[in-house]
Amino acid sequence: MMNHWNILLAPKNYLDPGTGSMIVQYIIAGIAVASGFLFVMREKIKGLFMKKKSDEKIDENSQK
Amino acid sequence: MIDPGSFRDPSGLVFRQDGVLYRKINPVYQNQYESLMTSGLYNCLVGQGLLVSHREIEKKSSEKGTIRIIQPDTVPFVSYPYEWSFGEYKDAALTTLIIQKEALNYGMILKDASAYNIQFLMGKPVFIDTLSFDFYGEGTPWVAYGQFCRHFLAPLLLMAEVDVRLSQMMRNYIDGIPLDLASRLLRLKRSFTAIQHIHLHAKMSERHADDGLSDKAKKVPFMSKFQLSAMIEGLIRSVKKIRLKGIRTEWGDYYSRTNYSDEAAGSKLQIVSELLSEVQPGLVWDFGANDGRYSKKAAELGAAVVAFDIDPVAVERNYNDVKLSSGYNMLPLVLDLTNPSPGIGFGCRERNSINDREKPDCIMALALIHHLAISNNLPFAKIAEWFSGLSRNLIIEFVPKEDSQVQIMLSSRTDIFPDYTRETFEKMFCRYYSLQSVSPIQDSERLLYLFKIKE
Repeated sequence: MMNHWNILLAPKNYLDPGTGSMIVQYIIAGIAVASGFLFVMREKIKGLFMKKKSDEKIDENSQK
Repeated sequence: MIDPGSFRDPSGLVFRQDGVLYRKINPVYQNQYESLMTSGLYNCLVGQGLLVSHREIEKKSSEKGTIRIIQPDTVPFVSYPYEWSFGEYKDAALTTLIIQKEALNYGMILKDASAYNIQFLMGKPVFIDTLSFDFYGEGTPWVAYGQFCRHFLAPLLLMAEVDVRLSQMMRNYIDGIPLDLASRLLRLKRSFTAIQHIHLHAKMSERHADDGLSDKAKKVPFMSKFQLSAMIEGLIRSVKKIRLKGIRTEWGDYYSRTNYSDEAAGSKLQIVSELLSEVQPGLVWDFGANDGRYSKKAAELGAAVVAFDIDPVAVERNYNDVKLSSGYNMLPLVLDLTNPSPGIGFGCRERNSINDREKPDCIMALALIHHLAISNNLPFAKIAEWFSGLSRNLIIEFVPKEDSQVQIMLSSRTDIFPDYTRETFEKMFCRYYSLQSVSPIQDSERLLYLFKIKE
């Protein structure tokens, strides 16, 4: 799906956004979505291990 | 009087009347302003201390073509990006991104991302341009992304990866560091942030530079709000990761290398406190503030303080202290007194020189005069003339030639300073000021003077 530039070049936007700056965002957003997904997954996996560790500690303490 | 730097944005302008700062809002910006105020975005940002608050002023019937006049809260001193330390710059960038992220939640965006829209209030960055918000158009990328990279990412990466002093490039490039230049300077630095936002961005900008010449309708890929939010989140993560690496400078550990005994240091702090209490300044400029111990004293006594130093590392340390203290009304800034910030931009008036900003009630110049007079060959008369044009009160320390620090300076050069004497110092400063008091610093050869401007 493609959008016309007119919205970006409307008079209210007094800055010239630059075509290159607009197009590169599409690539960067793709990378950001992927890295954001990986970041969340990493945190989840880290969380699982932390939980496992803390569960083990609780078990150890209860055995004492 | 219209602010000479307020002419680009058709949404409104900034002006001063009877010394009070106002912002005029034009009809073209009515819908955006109302959305900002009624959507909850304004309250959200002001509540978090991210946006300067304002009150609406009743406009006169003669002010046709104006929908609102607002009176924003003001900062004690307007600073510019080339005067910020790395930490200040980084926090300013993060503030801009967080505002853009919050704005998206309310269906708005930042339509510009200029570093000049950030000022510091009580040690925290705050966004000052109330008219920078626009409606988010579904499917559109961030219109201010290019400006954000030029104004924030390029300087931050150059400071962190190449040399911390490269923030000074912002003096030359008022609309941010050109990305092709940043890319060349960072060519051996292949961090993922630089690859995406500088190198690739510069290449794409170059490739599409002539798109305007084509007859075909320009098209841009659709970018969902989710993608845009992910990009902003990615930018926030990237900026957080930019860090200064192993910097050592001349002044970073100055006070561990001074010749003050404990007694002298205590005596100096005591005298400075007494002189400040006598002057009771509202705004103090501390020139050569170094670790900021006297700036902090002035702030403790109720003044707003701008702590200038030439060393970006000393300024960075002060900024970190201010952040940790959460109470000092103190703004540490980088400034070379032998080449202070000039007026820049169109007509040299868009950004004010240091001489044309809020003037202080008192200047402190402690352990500084020998650096100016001997290291930089500045005559006493020139220094006194400049100071007297800035402030009515002056607290200045005279460091005599016999002092070991001056002796170290003279050991590597010919002594061409026969006039560097207490008598000449007093004579030259008394051309512009009247001498109020002279206090010897105990256990030292040094003297502390209080001068008041001649009426």
